[in-house]
Amino acid sequence: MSKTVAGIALVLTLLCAAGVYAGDSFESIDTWRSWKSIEAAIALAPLDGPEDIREKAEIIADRLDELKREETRLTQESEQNAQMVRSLHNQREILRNLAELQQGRGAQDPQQLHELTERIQQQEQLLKRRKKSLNDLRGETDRLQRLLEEYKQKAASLQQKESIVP
Amino acid sequence: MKRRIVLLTILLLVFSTVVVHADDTQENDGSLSGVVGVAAMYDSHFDLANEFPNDTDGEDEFIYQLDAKLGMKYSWGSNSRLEFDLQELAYWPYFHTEKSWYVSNGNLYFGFFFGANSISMLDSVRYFVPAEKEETDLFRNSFTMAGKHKFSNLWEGLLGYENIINLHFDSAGNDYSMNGGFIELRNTWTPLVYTYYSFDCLYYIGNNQMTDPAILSPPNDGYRYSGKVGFDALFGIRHYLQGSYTFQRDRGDYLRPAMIGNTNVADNQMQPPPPDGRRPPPTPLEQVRGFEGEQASLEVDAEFNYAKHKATLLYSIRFNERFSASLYNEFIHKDFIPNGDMPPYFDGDRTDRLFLVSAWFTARTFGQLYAKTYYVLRANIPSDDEDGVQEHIASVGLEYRF
Repeated sequence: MSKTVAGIALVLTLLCAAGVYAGDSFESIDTWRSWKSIEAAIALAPLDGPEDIREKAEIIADRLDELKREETRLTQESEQNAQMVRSLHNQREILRNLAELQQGRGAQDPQQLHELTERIQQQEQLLKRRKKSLNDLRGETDRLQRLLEEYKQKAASLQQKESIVP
Repeated sequence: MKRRIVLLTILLLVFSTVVVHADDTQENDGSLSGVVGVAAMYDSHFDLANEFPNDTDGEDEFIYQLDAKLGMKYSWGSNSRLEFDLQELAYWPYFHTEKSWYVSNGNLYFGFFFGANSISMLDSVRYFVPAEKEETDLFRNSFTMAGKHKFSNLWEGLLGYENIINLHFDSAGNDYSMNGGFIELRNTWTPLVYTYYSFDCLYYIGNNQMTDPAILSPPNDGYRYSGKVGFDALFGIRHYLQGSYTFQRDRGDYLRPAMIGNTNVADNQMQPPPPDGRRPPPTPLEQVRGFEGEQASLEVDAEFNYAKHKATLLYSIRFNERFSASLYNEFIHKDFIPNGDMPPYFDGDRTDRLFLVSAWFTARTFGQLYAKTYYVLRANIPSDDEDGVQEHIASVGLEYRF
């Protein structure tokens, strides 16, 4: 009896200690979209000189660094996600093969198949969201990269003009 | 025969309608996939009643298998998903008989997601055409509907309804249907490790219309409940470990029409027990033949009045994009519990100990051509050792996926 109680206590303790969770949710996918906008800070004013433009280019470069870090994170997560989806599909195929050996039941029950199917759907949905976020992020990176080049050229051009004019 | 043609036609029509719909759409969220495969199998314990007249008593058999599967996925926006697949299997034994048998499986899934919560439905159909004329076609439909709610990052709950219908077209006395519900709590330890605790209860009703008193029919009514704990762990992305323990109790009432209002036990002996006092031969209710194995080595769904302990462990690994392997083990301890109204010949004291050990290996060879092989050992070591069965099944096959 005491062993049973000890077993139940152990299970309950383990359940209570289930705080090792590391989040993997929809919220973390689009984090970069909620970053503070830099558009106002990098907008060019008519009287901006080469130094002003270089400062704004630095803001863009900083944002590009952040975006690249985020791109690396999302790429890794997407790859993991895709692997997980394949593993889950593999798992479902195995369960169905096993079920076929057991008259369509036995190795699995409808609930188990249902749960696994739903989990696959959720993971595929997560993957789809990650890929979309990654595509948009790459689009934003390309835009800022072009802007950065433009600012650098403009700063260099202004610098050259200033050096010509006495 | 007409019924099975009609049923298969309906299934194919439904499928083609859905496929046409998927093709017509301009959305890029739909996809269509399929599998065509052939396999050769060895079964060490093949057993058909009507084998070749000059057949020896050998139990070894080679069986050819043809497998065709079509699947479709479609999503509306980011919230709704539809998944449909249909599988056709055909088996041809080589040595002992020329009788073949066929299986159709269909699954229709619909899920609606709102954030981390969801409502989903899954309908699974199975149609089994046996090799033996004496046996009847089996149609089974399993429907589950479930709502999932995420309480926190750590816990989510699942509440669902389940309906199972078993129809034997030429033997209505064996039909039974089940209705019930299930509840499940799922604990997330890490994003890839879950434990779950579930309970389900099913109430079933058998068909009163007895076509043949010699048939071991399902009970008039009864209930089946089970508690299950298990875990799913995906680690290193490529390794999957899944384990579970289930306790299931089934209690059915075998009250037959002849027994109603009649308390005379002698009058209720609708048939004498088999001469040797053992179980009668498998009946349509228990039908499992050929590749599907010796009934005594299987966990058969259509069994009643028992207490069951079941433990399973499944490990699978995807080595890379080409190779994957799995190991699945299962142990079942099933005590059949005598009930006052059991059929007269039913050996209520039987205890089955069922073992299943299997290994599976899949390799992608060229393009989308896959090689698949598996080995299965099934055994029953019952309390009555005379009924013990051991069965080896090995299969090698090729399949093309598109």
